[in-house]
Amino acid sequence: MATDNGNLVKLDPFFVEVIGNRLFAAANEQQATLIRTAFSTVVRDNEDLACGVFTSTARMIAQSVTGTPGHINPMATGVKHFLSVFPPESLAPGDVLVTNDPWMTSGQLNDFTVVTPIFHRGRLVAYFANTCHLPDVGGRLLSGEAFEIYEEGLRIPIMKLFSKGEPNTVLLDIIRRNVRTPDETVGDLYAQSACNALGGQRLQELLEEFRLEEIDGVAHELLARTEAAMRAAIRAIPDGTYEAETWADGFDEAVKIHAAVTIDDDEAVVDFSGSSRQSDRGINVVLNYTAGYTSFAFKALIAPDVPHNDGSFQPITVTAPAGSILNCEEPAAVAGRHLVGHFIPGVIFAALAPVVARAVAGGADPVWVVTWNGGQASGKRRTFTFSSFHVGGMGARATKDGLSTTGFPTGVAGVPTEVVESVTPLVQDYRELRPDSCGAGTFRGGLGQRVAFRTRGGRPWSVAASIDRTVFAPPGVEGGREGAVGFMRFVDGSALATKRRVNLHPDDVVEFGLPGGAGYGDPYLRDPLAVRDDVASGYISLEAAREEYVVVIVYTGAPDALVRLPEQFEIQWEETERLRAARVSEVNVSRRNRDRVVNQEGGVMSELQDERHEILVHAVDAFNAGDLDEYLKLYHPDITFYGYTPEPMGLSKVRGYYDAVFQAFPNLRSTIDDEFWSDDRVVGRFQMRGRQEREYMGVPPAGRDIDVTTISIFHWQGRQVIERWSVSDTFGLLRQLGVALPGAS
Amino acid sequence: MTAVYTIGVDVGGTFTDLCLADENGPILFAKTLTSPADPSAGVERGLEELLRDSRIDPGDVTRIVHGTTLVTNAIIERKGAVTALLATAGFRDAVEIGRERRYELYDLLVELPRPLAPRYLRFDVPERVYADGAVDTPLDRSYVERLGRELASSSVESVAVCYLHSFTNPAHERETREVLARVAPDLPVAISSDVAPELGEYERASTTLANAYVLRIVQTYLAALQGRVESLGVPGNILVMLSSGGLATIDTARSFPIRMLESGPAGGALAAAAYARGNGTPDLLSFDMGGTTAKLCVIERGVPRIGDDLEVGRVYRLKPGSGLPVRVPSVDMVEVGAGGGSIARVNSLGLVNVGPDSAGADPGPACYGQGGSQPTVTDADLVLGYLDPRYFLGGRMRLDRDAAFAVLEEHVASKLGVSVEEAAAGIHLLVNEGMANAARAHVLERGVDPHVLPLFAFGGAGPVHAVGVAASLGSPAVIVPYGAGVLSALGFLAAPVAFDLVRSCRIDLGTARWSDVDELVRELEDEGGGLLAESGVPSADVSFTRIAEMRYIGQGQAVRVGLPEGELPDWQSRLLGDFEGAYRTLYGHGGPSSVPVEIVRVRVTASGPAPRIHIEPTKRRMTTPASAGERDAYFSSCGGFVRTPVWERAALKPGAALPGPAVVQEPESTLVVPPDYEAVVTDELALRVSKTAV
Repeated sequence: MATDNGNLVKLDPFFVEVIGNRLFAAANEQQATLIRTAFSTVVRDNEDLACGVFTSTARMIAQSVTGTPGHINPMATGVKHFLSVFPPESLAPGDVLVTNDPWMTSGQLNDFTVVTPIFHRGRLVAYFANTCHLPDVGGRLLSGEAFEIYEEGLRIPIMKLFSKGEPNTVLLDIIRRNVRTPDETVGDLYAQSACNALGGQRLQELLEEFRLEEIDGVAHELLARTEAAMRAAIRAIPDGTYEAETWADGFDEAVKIHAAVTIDDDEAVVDFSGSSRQSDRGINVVLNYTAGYTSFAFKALIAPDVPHNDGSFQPITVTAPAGSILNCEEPAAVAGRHLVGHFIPGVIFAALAPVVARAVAGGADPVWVVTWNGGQASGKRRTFTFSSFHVGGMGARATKDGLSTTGFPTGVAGVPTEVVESVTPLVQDYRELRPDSCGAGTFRGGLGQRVAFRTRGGRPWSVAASIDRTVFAPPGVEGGREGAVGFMRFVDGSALATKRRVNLHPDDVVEFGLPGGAGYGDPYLRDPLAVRDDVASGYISLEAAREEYVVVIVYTGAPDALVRLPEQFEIQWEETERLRAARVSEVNVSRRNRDRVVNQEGGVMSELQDERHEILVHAVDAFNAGDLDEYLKLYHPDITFYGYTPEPMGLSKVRGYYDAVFQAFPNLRSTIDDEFWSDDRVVGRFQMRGRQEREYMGVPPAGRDIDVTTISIFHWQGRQVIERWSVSDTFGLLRQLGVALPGAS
Repeated sequence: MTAVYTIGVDVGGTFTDLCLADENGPILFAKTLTSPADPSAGVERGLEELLRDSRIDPGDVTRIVHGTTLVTNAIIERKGAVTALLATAGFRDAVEIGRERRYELYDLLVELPRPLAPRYLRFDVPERVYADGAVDTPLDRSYVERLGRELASSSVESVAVCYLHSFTNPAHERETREVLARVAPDLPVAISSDVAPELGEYERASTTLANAYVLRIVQTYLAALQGRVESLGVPGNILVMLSSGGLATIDTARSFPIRMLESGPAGGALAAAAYARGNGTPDLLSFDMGGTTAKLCVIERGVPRIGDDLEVGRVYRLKPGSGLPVRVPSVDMVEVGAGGGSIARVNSLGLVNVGPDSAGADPGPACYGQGGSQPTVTDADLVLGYLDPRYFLGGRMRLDRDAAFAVLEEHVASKLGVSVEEAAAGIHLLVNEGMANAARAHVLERGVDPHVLPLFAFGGAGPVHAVGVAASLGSPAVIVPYGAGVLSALGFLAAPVAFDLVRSCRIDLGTARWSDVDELVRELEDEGGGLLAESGVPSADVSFTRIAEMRYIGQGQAVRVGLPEGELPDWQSRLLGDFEGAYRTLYGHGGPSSVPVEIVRVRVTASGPAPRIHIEPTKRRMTTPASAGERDAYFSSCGGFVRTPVWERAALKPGAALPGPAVVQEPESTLVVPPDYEAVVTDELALRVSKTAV
């Protein structure tokens, strides 16, 4: 049946959607073909790949549905480099381009990007591209120990892999001679070319069906709509600069990753100044890759439903000083770039945590990439090389436990044991969840895993483990505890070097413990029944239940029983409540999160105090929303407000005071960082942040940002505040507003 | 000679459909409400109705073929047995570690499916076998004995066993079963080398666990069913529909209930296959669109394609990866979150998304008047004049067009600045496109060209959308069978007694001997023949199909190639040639010639004779008079609403040609024939729609 689709009115929203969906479907078919025809397990089981379709000016229109952030955005920007080397007039049907240059694409020589121009009626209309991690590229085995890129393997500039359908046999021969896995590496390059061709064929059919000459018009409409949606999502974040930093193990010394996220209306600038200098070993990150994970973090955090394409990249600018670890310069070694790059989303989530709520606690972050090499007793080849991927626990979410053994932020995954053992002489003695690796919290982190490797090869072998989070633990959020750090060692406990190749004896057994995710919220607010179930399932030990969660549990079954059901683990309620109450009064802090106060057991907060806390929280929300009327409901009509003015203020003066403040600082936001409750009084510590837009206290507006601490005592009567005493850091405020103060330096 | 009758019974979530047929085809249909507490009661009511209305002697019913959603529901609703998993020491967490991947990259709150056995019921059994089948650590029988005794005295009701590499060497699993049978004789045990002998510890364990999980529910149900059928005086044996489209006896089904997982949808595909065989269109694309999802399946040479990858209980927008994997032979279909209840909404880009979330049957679309407040596909179809508000479900339900209009206006049209009719037409188009995109990928991935496959449409919403989907796919025609509303039950009657068996292996074609392959094939044939014998098929009637799944060594996905029956002198080069040809068909190019090829799975289908049945009605019992009215229906190619003739399906005679625009109504569905298309009533009373020659 010929279609009626040619009758669609061009660029009406349904037409844009139909074409967008078709292109998306084409990218997914492209990916399915790649996975099914790829040779290396890295591509097909780990799905360490990305596929996409681009306009004639190399703007990415759509990407396939899985893939990994480390490839998607670097591929998106990388295609532009191909164009500058091969302008459209130098390309013909049947041409296929390739490179693995880290600075052009995704920051590692193993990642090959293959780009295919697509022609329609003699005109170049689009590109299909994909990036995937090939099993070997020569040089050292994949590890972080190189000093320079030259040691890490074969580097192929942007060049033709196929010319008018004819393979570049010189290039293929060179690759074959330089890699340990010639069949797989070259086979994967064929698969990468074939899947692009298939995507191109779908596009050509689409153009015929809709009687289109080109795709750019409708693509640009889609990109513009995407960009607008992304800008709207950014605009919802209060303007300001938000900073955070974290530490990675690094190679010989720890690496600092510092992010300053500046939100300015509908644009975001993420600046990684203040991060470590580039390393002299192979853990450096190219800016493309830094941008890839930054863009992933934004989309996941604020706009998960907005498509990932060139439109969504526009409002976000990523900068890092040249020569720093996140924007390294040649000839930096880069093979272990994910060991630093995978920390980026966590840092951005932490930076934006004060203004964007849907955060995730720290997790295992970098995927562990472990390359094994060695002799084998039988088989066609005398040696084997195999990269195994391992993932730990994800951090807890604000409303849910973290996922155990699940890659995050990466999209790649591990390989089944039965596959590892069928394609190599490697044997895994165990691969199981790692108890107590999860950080405690109201919601706990996901669990890491324990894996042990040995070989049946009977010959010397080696391991090169690109791993991290063995020193700095995943950080918790809002009182959640850290996740466990990872380890790699001989099974007898003796130490084993990481990030470099280590030669092993045929009888050695190597053991890994993958890090667990951190917790979210105070652990002693976790439901004791959930703690009990975690104990019964062996996710956490009885000791952890008692120490971390303050839940006392006794196992009542037979001491040697194999079958131990949850009902045999009895919660000692009275003791649990007593201990939890003690823990709570020790801290005597009610945090902002209402669930945590309301759920609190032990009776430290009275019901009335709980209610007053809620009212206070509500008032701060109203304050932050600029809703003065709602905010003022906090105060009793007969309020006496001491501290801000020489004479105490009544309600109408309080209104006038805040009105002036709101005028001067339209985006003023306040957080309660501490509350100390006692009878009818609460002491609160507040932090106010904003930008001066109008005159205030005689100081003309200069767009300066303020960040001021206030400490107040509120005296409650019923459900309102009857008296308030407040002290603010006025000195600091004036200094921040640029007022020259006598004696201040 | 007395008549020979068969009855197909499809127990769905809401309705139980029944179909009575004789050797020539269906005679009578019945539809009763499913009784969730004991589905066999609903079946009994339906059988009673059928027997009463047809006035046939229960003694003349030779066979009842039965399919059910019981297994699927038990897993989705987590109503199965308390099940323990015995795994190789160190690997009891394989079912929880899973695939280690987020199936949705950007959703920070994504959830993974929970294993059917909690960790405290998963046990590390000391034993270890290597990939080549060699034993590293012998099975610790005393541990199994001890564990078995403890399990027997606990609340555990069922046991699954999955050891590493057991598909290569099943000895330890079998030994474990023997020990358990001795120390815990009341505990049913499923072992992975029986249930799903394939590579991949996560998928194999998940499948075995699912099988153990539903054993008891299915056994109880089948016993009840058998009792009720006998009490009605029906002597015929009950056969159970499998997800592969084959049939099994109750006894066999009892051991492998997980193979019944998708029996209802398989019935639809079988009906399509029966039509394909009987009507000179051996290749079809079967298209079943209901309230929440649409399912599409390729029929090749009159047979539905069989695959292995199922997922049950997807927890997230029907996304692959969000459910529990089940590896059993099954009709290979793609399921799309697109149905009459699919909700349309304007997204942050100012574009419209349709589905995958659905208003379901309750509250249902806004036009049902049951409180649905979101615009759905059915609402759009109603506004476009494709559905008759007074003749939905044959008039049993009134639809409220004003309500549909209002929600479309509020949620779509006003936001986009288009008219309500344009919004409705856009939704109709987008849902068709969504199904066509999924179908295109599914068909092409199997190396078939969608342009040559007629669309065989059924299900409540199928005929409404079929022509649109066909247009997008470039299908040559749409075929709408008679009795489309109860087609699965009818399809059951077209199924042979058959078993699909598959085994993983690694045979390098370059160095293999014929006996390496032959041994595996014989093993599977013996197993299949045995199962058929148990199901009462005489060995003379058994036929086998043998397939090798092959790939270039190192590659992931395998390609299917037929295996010769016996050794031929040049079998290797023949097989290699067939493989290369199939590879080229699938991927459009050859593989790297230097890489050797291996066989990774051998698959055997053992089947009894296929019943000869026409899926067309033999006796016309419908007496509704023709009432060819008219109504306004919207077609973008006409620029809006046009007066459109409405036909009663039951009154149409073979040979009648209905030029589009036209609407053909029957109680369960409505066929929309756009302008420039024509529907022709075939001799079998199917409607065949194709583009008018220009």
